[in-house]
Amino acid sequence: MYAFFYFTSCSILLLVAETLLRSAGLTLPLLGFFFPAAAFIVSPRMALGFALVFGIAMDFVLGYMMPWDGILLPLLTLPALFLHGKRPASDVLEFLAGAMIPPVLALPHVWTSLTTPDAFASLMMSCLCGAILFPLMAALISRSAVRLKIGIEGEENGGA
Amino acid sequence: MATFKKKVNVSRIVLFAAIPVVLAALVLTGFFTFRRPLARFSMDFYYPFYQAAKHVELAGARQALAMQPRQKLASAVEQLQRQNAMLAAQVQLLREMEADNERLRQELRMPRWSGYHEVYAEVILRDPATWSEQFVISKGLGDGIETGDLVLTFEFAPRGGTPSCVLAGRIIETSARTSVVATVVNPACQLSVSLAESGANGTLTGNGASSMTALVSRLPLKSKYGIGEMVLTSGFSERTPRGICVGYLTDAPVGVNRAAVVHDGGLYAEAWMKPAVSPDSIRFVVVLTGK
Repeated sequence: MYAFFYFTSCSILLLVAETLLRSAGLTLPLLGFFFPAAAFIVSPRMALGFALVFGIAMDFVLGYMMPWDGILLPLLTLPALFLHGKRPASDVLEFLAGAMIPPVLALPHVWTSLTTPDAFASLMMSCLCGAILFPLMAALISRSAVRLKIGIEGEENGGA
Repeated sequence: MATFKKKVNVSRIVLFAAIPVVLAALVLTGFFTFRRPLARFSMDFYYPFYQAAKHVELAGARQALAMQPRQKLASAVEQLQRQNAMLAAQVQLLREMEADNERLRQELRMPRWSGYHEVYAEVILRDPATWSEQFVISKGLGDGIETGDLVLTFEFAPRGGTPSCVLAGRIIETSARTSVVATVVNPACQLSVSLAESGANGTLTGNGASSMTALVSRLPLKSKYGIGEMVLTSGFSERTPRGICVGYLTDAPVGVNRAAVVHDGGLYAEAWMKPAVSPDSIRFVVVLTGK
């Protein structure tokens, strides 16, 4: 139950933050970092469900006619289901995963706007930010999961 | 034992491949089935968050303005007063013309012109991936805005002259409090247009953000068209007033092997149009809704 509220509040706030950043011209897929990280740390199934719902919500809010985020966010979260919540031991893997998430989410727009040099430079910038932000977000989720005693890591560390 | 292990691995691979496909199919089916009500709910749910962010931005802008030197502010106020007086005079003239129009229509027993209601709105949301093609504004169904309404913006004249209204795009989606606008370069934006000098009528369709142009098709072959000719709304459709500037005819975009005006299969001519105002810089808009 706590995990559900945790996912709901984090997803709502991160969606607002991400869309406001996008309006400021910054493409930082905060939800794209949150759901894969939370899937490994808290609950893969719940993360998958929330990725689906909030991915579609993101498409609706931005007025897209195709549910690109609704498809790509669950796909990014999917590997956690098969790895049974085992987080990668190496930090380098987390850096790499963080750098790979922005280009995957930008895939649908490759044929239109990414052909311009500005858009390409912006994508490279978000890759760099992703490499830094993803491990940070994973650490933050891990710490909050232990503190709130929710999910895989929370339970391993003596949670309910 | 080895065969059993192999079977298990194959089924896992099939499962791994099938889940994304099924997931994508489910998402697409759900999305297109419940798109309209869910889109309205999502847009309205998040509206207070964006409005709060806009209030903070506005408060910051006001504070920044208050920090400007008094002399600069005084001259800006003076200039705005001058513009305001000119606009008030123009509005007065237009009111007289409207009254004349109404009287003539009654005399000729023509149907009454319903007119338009203007709704002022600001851009609250944009995505860098579709920055030039669409944006979300702060007014919606609750303010009388409907899908298909025209969206205007202002083109500021140099040296403080009166600003003129030009077409920014069209409403493609609405919720109770917000609306999505497709700019004139968005392929989803289509409208009937006429050319100022030749008087020819055609259909305008956005050509995408990569070229930042729109295509005017179905133009008569006999007329002559030149680069720089003004493109105006034709007023043929119910929600479109006549004579609003949309853009100017231009060269074909880079990478397209066509001249400015070409023949469309030998039956019609077509031309490329550059928008009158860059969609990238639009911050405030006026939506024309039917009265």
